[in-house]
Amino acid sequence: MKNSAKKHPIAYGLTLGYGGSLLFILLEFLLVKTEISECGVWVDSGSSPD
Amino acid sequence: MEQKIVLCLVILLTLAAVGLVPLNLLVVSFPEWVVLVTVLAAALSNVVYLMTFETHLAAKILLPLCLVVSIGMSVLGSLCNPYWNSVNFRPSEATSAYDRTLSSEEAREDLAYAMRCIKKCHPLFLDGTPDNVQKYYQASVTRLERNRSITVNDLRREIQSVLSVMGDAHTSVRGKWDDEVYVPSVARRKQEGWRLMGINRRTVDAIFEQNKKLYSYEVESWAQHQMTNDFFCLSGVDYLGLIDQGLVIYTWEKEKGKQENESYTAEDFVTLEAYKEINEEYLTAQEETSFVSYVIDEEKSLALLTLRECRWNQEYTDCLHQMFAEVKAQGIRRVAVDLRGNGGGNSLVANEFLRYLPVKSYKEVTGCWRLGWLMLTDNQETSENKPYDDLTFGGDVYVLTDASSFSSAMIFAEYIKDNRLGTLIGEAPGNTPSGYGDIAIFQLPHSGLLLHVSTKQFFRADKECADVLVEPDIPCESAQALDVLYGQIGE
Repeated sequence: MKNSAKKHPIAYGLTLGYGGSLLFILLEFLLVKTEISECGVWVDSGSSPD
Repeated sequence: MEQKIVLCLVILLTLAAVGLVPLNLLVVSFPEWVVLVTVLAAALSNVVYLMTFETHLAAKILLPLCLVVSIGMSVLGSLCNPYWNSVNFRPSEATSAYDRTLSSEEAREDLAYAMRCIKKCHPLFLDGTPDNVQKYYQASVTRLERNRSITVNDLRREIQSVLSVMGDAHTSVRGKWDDEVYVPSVARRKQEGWRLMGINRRTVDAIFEQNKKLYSYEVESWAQHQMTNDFFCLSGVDYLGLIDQGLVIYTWEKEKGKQENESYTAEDFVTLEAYKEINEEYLTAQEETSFVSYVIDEEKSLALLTLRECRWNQEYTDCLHQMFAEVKAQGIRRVAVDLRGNGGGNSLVANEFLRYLPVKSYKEVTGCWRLGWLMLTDNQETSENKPYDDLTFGGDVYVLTDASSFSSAMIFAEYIKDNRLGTLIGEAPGNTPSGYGDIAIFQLPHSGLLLHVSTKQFFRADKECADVLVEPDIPCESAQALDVLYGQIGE
């Protein structure tokens, strides 16, 4: 792992960034599914101004 | 030194790409290409920096890492964000005066902008513009091309003629006029039992039939409600073309045959402050109280919660908690929620209310959310309840609704009806449970008109129910709903 980072640091950074983003989305998805995050509740936030 | 300056530029551009998203949502509108250009500049500066300068290993890893995260967040935040360029999270400007003249080009630009917003956000447009909408849009463009000058209200009519084809009550265009003026006698007339029969010698029904295409609605009662609001303000009567030689003549009827006419010129309409002052004795105390309040009638063993807007906040949750605490302490056997005139807000107010009822789970709406080229679907048909065990209420629940109970207020009634948790009294709410909602609001660049666009499609909680509307169990006129409730209690 360390070696590949030294050999191809840019590719390593790009992969890490991509993986990190995917992990973030996965974490959000889990939070929503387990209803820990309020985003998981399907809401309607439209209203009439009258 | 030079390396440090370039590094700072790289970091700045990478951060700027992400920072543009909150800047757009909270401060100022700008097109998506600004983000794409910034992202490209950030990527280019990264490449140049890494190829030109000798860098530490950490920089070689961290800079591309941050760049990828930044690209992902900024592209999703602009292209897949229904609130991009919206005024949902920042104050909007006032709309230009309803009679201000726009050039044909300005009007067409506003119409084109409105169409772009709808195409990007509305679930119905995911696979392209529906043929009938496209047809009406083209007809509207042609009319605007022919006219050299168009007033703001003319443009509102043109845009609305395209939107009303969609049959989505949430997707509409309207003005925000802080200096709006009103007919001064409306509150008194209503209080005294007068009914508006016509304007300028045309009956209300005839005006409605001729102008209903100027409103977005799923059921006609909602269009009638919207139009009635327009009858009594100057921009509204102008929108409906009801000013005849500078005059608006209202015909009121109290009893059969007893009619009175009232004539107004534009100068006779009054500001909201003046209206309140003139009608102080006729306006109910409700105008002054909070959006949520309750009274407890010990004799009838009834707690009546009045919810005028669906605001899901601390004030609401505290009020609800306090009411159910009193209900328990006093052994109250009935709870009624008055949603008449509630134009909606956040549907979480309904979920919060259900936490006081003895149910383990309940049916809830399903649907899909348009996020740019993505469609996020939610097929979860039931939701686990998280009851407040110490305050669970096992008595009778009643909900009062009318044609102006809209959006989240309709969802509130839908949850009670579809889960058989109580009795609905009054009129059917003003929109359909299977329809569109959850709006993004955009301000058109020249006229300042506000365009409301649905971003979600909803499907009714009770999939077995074939009713188009959330029908009341005990239908009655809005004004009678409270009397019917007391009659139902029978004490």
